[in-house]
Amino acid sequence: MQISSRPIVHLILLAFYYLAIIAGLVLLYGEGDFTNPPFVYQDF
Amino acid sequence: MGDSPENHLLHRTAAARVLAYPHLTAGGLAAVVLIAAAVAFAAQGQRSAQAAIHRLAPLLLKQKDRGIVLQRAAYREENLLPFYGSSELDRPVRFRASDFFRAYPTGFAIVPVGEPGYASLLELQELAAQGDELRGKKLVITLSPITFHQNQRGYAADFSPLHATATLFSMDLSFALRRKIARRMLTQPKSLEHQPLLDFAAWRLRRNKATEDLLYCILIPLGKLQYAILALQDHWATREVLRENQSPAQTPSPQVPDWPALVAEATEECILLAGDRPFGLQREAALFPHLRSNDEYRRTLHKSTEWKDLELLTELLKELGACPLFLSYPLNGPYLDSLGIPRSSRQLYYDRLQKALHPFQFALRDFQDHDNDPYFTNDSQDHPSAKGWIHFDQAIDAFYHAN
Repeated sequence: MQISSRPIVHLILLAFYYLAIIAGLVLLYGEGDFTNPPFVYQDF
Repeated sequence: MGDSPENHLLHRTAAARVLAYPHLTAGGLAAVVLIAAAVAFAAQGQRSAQAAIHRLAPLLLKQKDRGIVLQRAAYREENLLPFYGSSELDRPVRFRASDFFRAYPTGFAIVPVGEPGYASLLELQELAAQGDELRGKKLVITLSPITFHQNQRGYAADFSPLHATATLFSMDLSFALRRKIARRMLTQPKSLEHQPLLDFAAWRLRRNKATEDLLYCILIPLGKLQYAILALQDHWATREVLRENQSPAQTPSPQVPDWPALVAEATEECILLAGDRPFGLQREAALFPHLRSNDEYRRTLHKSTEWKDLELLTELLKELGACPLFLSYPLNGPYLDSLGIPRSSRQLYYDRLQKALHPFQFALRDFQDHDNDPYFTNDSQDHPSAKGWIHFDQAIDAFYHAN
């Protein structure tokens, strides 16, 4: 079977491909940073 | 009979159009699947937080302060009362509210939210992020006199991009209020250094011109997208918190507090802990700049930007229909007298506080009748002692059960 001869299969595989790219980007860069620089509470 | 040749042709044309742009179509499909997954993840995340909130309620968790999910879960529970404070929350003093109400003695528990350095400008962003969730809900906010002499020292350290985004792009707040908040946020440029969208939006709001307002409105979808991404990150981080905190919820243990006996017990402990130190202080006194003279005290109190922020906070609570109780620590009169700061100067703080909150008719307990009580606070930063906490607990209990 040639994928090029089955456009629907090609489309679905392409969709999975894009989903994998987006999912990979989310996993690499998606985690938020809820930390903050340390606060010196007293400075007098 | 069956498909007409014209319909068949139409379907073939539409399908051909879709298949003529396979990358676009595939990309669109992937985006739809991703959005659906994100929505499902967020919904499941909120459900999990709701199921776990009673065992997390009394804990001091950074995610509770910096995020939205856990606070939202607390507001949705009838027998949980959010309590916004600052450094007094993480000092292990007897009768601290989160400990006193841990076992739901009078039918509810406290959910402490806050970190050292928290003040009104941070709290209002935190509450704005809850939006309509606050309508008709009770909450407690503590006010520490010292913050009315120190202008936002903790702001950059405790700033939350998630809360700030939710605030600046909130459709629950009036345009005028968003503008005022943006102006205040811009006085802390360090917090917006790495937040180009927030900085740009705040400047557009600040200028109060039709063209700038239009630019801001065009930005709103982008702001909502940023909020959605940050909110998903909050859900992810909350998931980690739920995994790390598995201890079971406290079993409710109803009891009727004997307030006079508890006050007597707390006072005894404070006297013991103060020992030989004068004025009820349990630690060495730190001489903050505003305590160096009566003139300096009055000057810094008069000029404090915290009053402006408190005004914004009360406007915000009014717009969102929340029902707050404001608790202010009293000043340590005997200690301040010894520094040459008389009652007449201290009264300026109490009077201005009453004046700030009176128009909104919010509940306020400022405990100024304890101004001469050296055992209410235990240090020169106005942190409550055991005695201070038991008075707070009594006020909180009365507030929760009032109509």
